[in-house]
Amino acid sequence: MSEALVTTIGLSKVYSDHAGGQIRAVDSLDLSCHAGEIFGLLGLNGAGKTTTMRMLSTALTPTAGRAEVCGHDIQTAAREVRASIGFLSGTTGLYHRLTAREMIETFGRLHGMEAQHLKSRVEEVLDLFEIDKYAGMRCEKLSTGMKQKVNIARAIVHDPPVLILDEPTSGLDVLAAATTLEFVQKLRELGKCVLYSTHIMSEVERLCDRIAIIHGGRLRGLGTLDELRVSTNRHYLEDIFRDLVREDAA
Amino acid sequence: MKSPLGLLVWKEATELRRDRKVIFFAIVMPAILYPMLMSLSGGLTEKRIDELSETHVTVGVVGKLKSVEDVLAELPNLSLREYPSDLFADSLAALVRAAEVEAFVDLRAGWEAREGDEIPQLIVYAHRSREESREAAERVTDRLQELREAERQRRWESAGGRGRLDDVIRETFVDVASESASAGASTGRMLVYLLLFSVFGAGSAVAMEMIAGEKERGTLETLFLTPFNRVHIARAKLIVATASTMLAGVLMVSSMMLAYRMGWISTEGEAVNTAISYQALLTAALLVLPLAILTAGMLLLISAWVRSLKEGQYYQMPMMMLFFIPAVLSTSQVIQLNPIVAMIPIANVGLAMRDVIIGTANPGLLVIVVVSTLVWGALALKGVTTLMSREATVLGFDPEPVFAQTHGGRLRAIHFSMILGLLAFFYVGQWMQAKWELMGVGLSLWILVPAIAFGVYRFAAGRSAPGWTGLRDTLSLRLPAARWFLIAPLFALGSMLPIAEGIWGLQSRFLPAPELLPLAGLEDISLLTAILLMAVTPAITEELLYRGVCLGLMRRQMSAVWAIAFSALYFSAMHLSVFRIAPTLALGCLFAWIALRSRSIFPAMLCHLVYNGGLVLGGWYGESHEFPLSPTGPFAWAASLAVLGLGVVLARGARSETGVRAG
Repeated sequence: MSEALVTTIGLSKVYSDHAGGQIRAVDSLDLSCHAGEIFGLLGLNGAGKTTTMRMLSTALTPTAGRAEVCGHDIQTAAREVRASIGFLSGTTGLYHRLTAREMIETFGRLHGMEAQHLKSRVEEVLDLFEIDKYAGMRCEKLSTGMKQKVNIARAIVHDPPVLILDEPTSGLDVLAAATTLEFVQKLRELGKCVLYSTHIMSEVERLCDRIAIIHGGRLRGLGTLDELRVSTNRHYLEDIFRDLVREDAA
Repeated sequence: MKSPLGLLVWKEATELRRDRKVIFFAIVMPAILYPMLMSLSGGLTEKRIDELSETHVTVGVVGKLKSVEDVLAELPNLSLREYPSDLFADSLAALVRAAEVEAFVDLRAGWEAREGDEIPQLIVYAHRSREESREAAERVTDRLQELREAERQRRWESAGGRGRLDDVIRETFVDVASESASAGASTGRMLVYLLLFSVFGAGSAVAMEMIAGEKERGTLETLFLTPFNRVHIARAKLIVATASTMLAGVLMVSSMMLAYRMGWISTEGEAVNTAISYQALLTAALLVLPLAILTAGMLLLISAWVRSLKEGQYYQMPMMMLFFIPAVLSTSQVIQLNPIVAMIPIANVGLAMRDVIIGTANPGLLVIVVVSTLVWGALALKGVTTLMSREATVLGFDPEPVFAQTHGGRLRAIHFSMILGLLAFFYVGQWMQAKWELMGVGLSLWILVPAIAFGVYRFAAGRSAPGWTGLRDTLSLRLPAARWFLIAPLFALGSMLPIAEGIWGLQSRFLPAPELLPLAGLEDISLLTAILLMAVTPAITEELLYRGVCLGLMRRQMSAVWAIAFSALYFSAMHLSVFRIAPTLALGCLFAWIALRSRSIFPAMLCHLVYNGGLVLGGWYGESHEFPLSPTGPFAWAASLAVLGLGVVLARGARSETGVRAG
């Protein structure tokens, strides 16, 4: 197997509640994700997927444990980590008053890309997502699907080795979602390490090489789809997921 | 089951009390912000009025009239200077303009007439743009009112109760200020007013959009994913916000001046042309830069704190008050720049600009204004960076409750309850003292202060100090080593002169106190009552609150140095006087250090008792000149330092759990 580009060891995130208790959003998570792999994080709303990804992107600080991205510690080398990832979630927005092209160019520049390389790279991603026709339009005028494409283009313009995609098809119509999934598959072909979070089973079945099922912040199952089938004696991912979550509830 | 109405009220109230906007606008603003702003501006105005009333002025008089001179001679801080009666009116005006005298009273016309045919003339010459001149003219006209009434009565009676009452004395006020000076002053004041508002308007539109707007649209998180750290992001935002604010300010000044000079706004265009020099305009424009930095920093701070653009827009109103009040103040000449006022943010720039434009600016004060404004701006930037680094900025909500049982939550609980306690002391204590005077002082110290201590402890201790053991440990209710009963009085005696003479004296250079406040009112009570009220009582109750509850709780959450500093700050704030801040801050630090070093509250109580007792005795015998030793002079200083040194030497040997070292 290729080298692990993302590893977490005992990664935890704890919030406090009003009564002085603690909410363990992520609890001792051990994961590793490799180059050329799409690693699915599957869980219900509030399972801890987004918190995990935000910790990996350095936006949040872990309460305990550690994690590395491309060999950089997320706490001591946050800047290097951010340079190595492309992050996309439902909350990462676009600058509405910039055009699609300006948006992608701006983030390329912020990632330190040289002008000449940036220019060709911007054309490349515009072409890849078939948004070159709309490149001159302000982001506020784009449709939801187009905005999501621009957002993905923004996340990959600096060609990062690791992509962290948090529910990237959320809010997209069928065609736009299909385009996004096709693109994620292309990323694998390009040797990228993709951490893909969703609660849509079909996406995971179609895309992911390995799957981590998270519930209540804890890892409930980890492996390829076949390995999970064997361990739970179930065929469909939905049944596997339900079993693992129920097991936790019991 | 509760009634439907009750349930609905409960639901609405629960939702609202968790909305920090509601808490801020319904409680914090009316209870803290507005009174604070008004007391600040009122205090400054009052102080200046007091200063002016004590300023010595010279008033010229022509037309010798003994009755008038006698009346004016009674006025304190005013000297009369007689001038020959053959001076022309122009000469009188020139003398006032040249500040030879602050005002002139011309009593030449009509005062010799006794039969009511000629109306006596009272002509007052003053320079309206100079506050000393205005003050002199006001004193003279107020005082002459009595004379006018008497003359009015005399003439009325001699005329057999006939004639028009208002024709008894004709008063004329002549403003000797040149047209250019008057126009310059009024234009300058209006410019400052408009400038502060345009700077605020531009700054708030830009700053709110730059962080709160980005948070709302999710682009801030996108920006945080770039390799730059948040300090860089905050600085970049500050630069752009400052540039926009600066642009608005400079454009406003330029366009206003252009409009004045072209005569589009006022017929005084010519006068303004000569009144406001290019040098003054350039200096005023340079002052816009620090103001723009501070404005941008403060607005970005709000923008970083709020969760959405809409919430930020609510907070623009109280921020506007911070600009509105100085803007209004700068249109009058009551408040003058001094080293203290020059450090008050925003107001200092407004007043400095006013002085620059009317040509009375002091270069030293301008330097203080610029440096202090830049320091405030830097602090605001630090705050922006800190707020942007919070997880709440990314999450869109605070990850932990405000008063959570965590380190941060407990800290907030301590500060919140102490501030609430201070407010309670301010309002209830003032009311008690106004209603029952000395008894009120006693009640506020014996009932209110312990009640505040109890409330703060109950609210802020949480799980960190459970049960009796927790209370005893927090308040350090344990006997100290015996030597502390000697060390504490030594510190009290040794620090009296350095605090009362040294710190108080140093502070008086920058902030002259109107009177010796600590012993005011002593003359009405017996010595025993004074000792009980001003030494014994505070030594027990204030120590329980500040060195017991406040310091004890803070020590659990922060280092000894910070705990000492904060507890002393609250102790100082409780004395409710700007003139006592520095001395009480020093004392608070001393008492807190003793409490931590001795691991007991009792030495701090003893030190407080001896210190206050010494002041009471000193004041008591000092008033009647029975005090055996001179409390000042080199000998007293040497003795004080020797006693203090002895205390330090003895304390060095005493054990400490805090890491605070003596000496």
